[in-house]
Amino acid sequence: MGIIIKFVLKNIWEKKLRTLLILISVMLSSALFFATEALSDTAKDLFIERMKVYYGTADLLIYATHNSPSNFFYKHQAERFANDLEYIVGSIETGGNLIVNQETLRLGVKGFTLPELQKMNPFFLVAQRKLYPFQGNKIILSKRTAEEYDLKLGDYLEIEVFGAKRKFLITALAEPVGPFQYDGQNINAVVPLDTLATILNARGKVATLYLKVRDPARKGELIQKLSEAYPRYQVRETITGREMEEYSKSLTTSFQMMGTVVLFMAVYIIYTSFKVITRERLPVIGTFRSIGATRKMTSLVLMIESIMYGVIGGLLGCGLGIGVLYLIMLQILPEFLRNVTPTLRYSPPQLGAAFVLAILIAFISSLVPILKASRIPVKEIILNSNSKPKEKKRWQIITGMVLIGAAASLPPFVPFRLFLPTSMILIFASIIGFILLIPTLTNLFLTVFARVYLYLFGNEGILAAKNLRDNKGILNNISLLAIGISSLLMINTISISVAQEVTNFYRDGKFQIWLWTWQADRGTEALLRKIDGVEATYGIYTANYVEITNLKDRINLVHGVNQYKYLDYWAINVDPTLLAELDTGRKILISNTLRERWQVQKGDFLVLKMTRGERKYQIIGFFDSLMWNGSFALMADRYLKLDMNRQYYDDLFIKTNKDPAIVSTTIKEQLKRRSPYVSTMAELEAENIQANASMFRVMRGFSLLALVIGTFGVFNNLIISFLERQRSLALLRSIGMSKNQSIKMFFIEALTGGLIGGIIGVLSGSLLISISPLIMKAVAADIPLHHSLSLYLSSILAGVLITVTASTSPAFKSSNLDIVTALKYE
Amino acid sequence: MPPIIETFKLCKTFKLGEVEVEVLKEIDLTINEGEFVSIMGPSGSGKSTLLYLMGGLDKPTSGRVRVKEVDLSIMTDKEESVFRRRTVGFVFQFYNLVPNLNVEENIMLPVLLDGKPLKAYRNRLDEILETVGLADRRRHTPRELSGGQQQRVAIARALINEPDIILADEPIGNLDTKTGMGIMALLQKINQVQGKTIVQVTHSMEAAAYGQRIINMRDGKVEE
Repeated sequence: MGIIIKFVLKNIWEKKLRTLLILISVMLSSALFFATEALSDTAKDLFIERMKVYYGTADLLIYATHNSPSNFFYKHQAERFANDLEYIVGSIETGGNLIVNQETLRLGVKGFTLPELQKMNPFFLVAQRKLYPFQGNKIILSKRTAEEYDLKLGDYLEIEVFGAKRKFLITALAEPVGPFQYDGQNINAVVPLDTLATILNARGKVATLYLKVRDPARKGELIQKLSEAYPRYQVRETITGREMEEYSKSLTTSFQMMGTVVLFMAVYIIYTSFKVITRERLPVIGTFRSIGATRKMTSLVLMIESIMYGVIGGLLGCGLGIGVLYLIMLQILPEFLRNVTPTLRYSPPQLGAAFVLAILIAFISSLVPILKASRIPVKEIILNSNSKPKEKKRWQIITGMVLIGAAASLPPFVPFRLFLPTSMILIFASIIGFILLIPTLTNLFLTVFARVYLYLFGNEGILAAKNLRDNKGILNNISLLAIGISSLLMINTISISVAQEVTNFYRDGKFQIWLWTWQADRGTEALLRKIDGVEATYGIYTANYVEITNLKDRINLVHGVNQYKYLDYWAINVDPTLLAELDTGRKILISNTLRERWQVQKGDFLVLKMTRGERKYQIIGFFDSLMWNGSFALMADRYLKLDMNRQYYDDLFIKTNKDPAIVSTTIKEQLKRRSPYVSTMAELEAENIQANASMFRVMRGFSLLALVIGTFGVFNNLIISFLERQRSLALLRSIGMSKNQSIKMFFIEALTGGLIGGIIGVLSGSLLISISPLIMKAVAADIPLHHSLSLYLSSILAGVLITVTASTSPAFKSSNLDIVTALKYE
Repeated sequence: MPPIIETFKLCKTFKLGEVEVEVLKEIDLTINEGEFVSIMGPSGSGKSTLLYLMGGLDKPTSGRVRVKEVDLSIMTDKEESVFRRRTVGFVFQFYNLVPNLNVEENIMLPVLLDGKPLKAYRNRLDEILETVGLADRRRHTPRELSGGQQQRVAIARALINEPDIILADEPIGNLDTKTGMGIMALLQKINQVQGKTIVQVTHSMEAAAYGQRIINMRDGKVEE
């Protein structure tokens, strides 16, 4: 066994470039697999980290809604459950304006008692003066805020809160963590709970209760009991598993797709490398077999080699995976959490799975060439007579066409619940179909190119086109490029479409300013209309995450529609008569995304779980919308108001006849007592694009990685092809081909290979793009795909660039070939 | 007849690891136009090396080769390539055909490399195919031909650009006797009918006998 291991290690060591290529392929696949797996947990942690700013370690929240009798309530009903709770922390929180150095900053003012806050959301003071007793006009700021605005202990701050200016004394500075963490919008400060309660005439009361349960298994039961104790207040979990899952899924899906591309390419590279390895080793295999080794034994030697690549690549891949995970985290970390070192969450089983995957990739990809080599009779190996011309395999063409045909025609017939698995199978089918057709398609292209090349490149062009026929190295390159380009094309098309649709979503709004404020009603609208530049307003009732009990699903957003106004504010393609019909009863219009997901028809009933209990709504029609990923419905505002027990508007849409930015500032100024959240549509769009930008950056990084691995693979194939063709290249030199002609021929070959690879990649990519709506719908977003001509052209160009760049070394090697040596030996 | 190939104190040394092997030792040789010369000698005597130097496939360590009064050592790569295309035609022991090109395409390769239009060579191609007896095999690929037929294609390829010299390295070394003699008869006919100068390297006395002159080599020297 020792001799065999030594033999294998020597083989691995001798071909350094090939070893490097296989190792990179294995390593990247396992690294990306690990990073994607671990990202899911890390992303959940990140989500919790984001939410900690607000909720600390609390599990449950109780707060007033639009429909509560008051904004404040007593803590004592909750104290009845003290035995089941680790803590009950009360607070009053509001927004304020901090006036410092003639600049007005938005400030989150949090009223707490310090011992309670410390329990719920631990903080660390770095300096304090006369902090205790924590009462009166004392305030704690974060160290970061103090440094940024040159504030010191003992300074007085002027804060505009609840419409009046008040002075607070800085008595402590805290590390910018926990409640003092900058949340991307507000600077946060803590004041005594009593102080805020006194200002608001609510002494002894709180606006929010934070609770931590002792036994997480009883969370549901406690929510139920607390809801009964506080019947007109909202009792909910701080962070739901579903929210975390959705956040994590939105991040990991794209990475999983990228990882699959790299995996495909790695499998192909290892497969082609092992085809060469087994061919090279045939003489040794023959020797082994002639002295008594069985087929199993010789195959075992090659399998040990492939497993070794898996083991080494897996070990390196795990290390690289941690690095990749860290880099992804740095990219997706929100701006306000940048000062927090991301905690990478990964487990030994995840590392183990990545390691096992590496071994499996190496082993499975090499299995076919190994088994094929083992089937060659020993006599043929020794006499080197295994050179029978291969018959063209008609079954390849037929199978290829059947697979492509299936991938192109099946999507419209797939039921929703099978979208994800079917789309994955169809993607595999189309890629394999194209790989099987590549020799035939290449010959077709070559016939065309040969005619054009005569005029473009002269006789060397014809020669290059002839050389490319049935050239395995070039066919492998074309396959590699086709896999890479088609997959990247699909991923990039989806990314571009998502980005474009995000933009389009904001363009569907026919208003310019979006406003959220506390207890908004017709009075608020009247106030707004008086503001210079405000042309019209529309207050709307909405409901989020409404459960559909008969379908065990939910609608993410329901708009309560005023039939006369709605279409003036939203460019939604829906028949106005249907909007009018909504007013005639409990009727609902749902998006086509939901229709497809639920497979429902006009006239079907949905049972909605609403504040006043379950209500039956009849579907009267469908419309296209991407709002909230297409999980969107419309009902009459009067029924939404009634069934959800709403008194106040949830959103206000404002049309302006002046610069929306200026009008928005005026509105903020005029309504500052209500601490409104006002944003222009342009700002919302920019924020969303910004939020997506980091994700796209990571995706582009992954695309680049796939291109790098593809370039390595192409380079490897070209070197192999050069080694195999040394003799015929020497022959051409012997009958008069000059060095320049040789280089020119090589580059034309590379150009042609790249061009054909690019074109087939684009063809295959178009098919993948036609399948991808199934994935998009299954994952949540029914986003129309935007085809970009420049993306298609740049894909072809990328194919050409990769092959031409990778052919530089073999081209120059061919020109400096030792003709005599290459010709002499058979 | 005037000389067509001349060598002057031609030396070739190969480095095998640390050891230098002198393959050719100051060879002075003249081959006249229209001659059919056979170079014979044991393995390692330097006969193939001499042939490759005459054809400009290799560079001498010292000394000179003059073909048609032109010194090969002062040629640029481009001039050398043109020389190999137009002045000499090579025939190798293992035929060296391009496997994925058919008979016609293999024969036309030197024309392609010379940048000439293929159409202009149609008649010449037909003539050559008749000469080598492969008119009915023009669309076949090398894999579909016997060894003798493949060597005929190689000879046809060597002739297509109408070179003055044919250099053949063991042209029948890979063929059975009967087929080999057929090839030799073809080369002899080309020499006699077309007046081409032919230099062949061979181990076979029978093959050598088709030539007009035999040059014997031993240990890198000519023993005429």
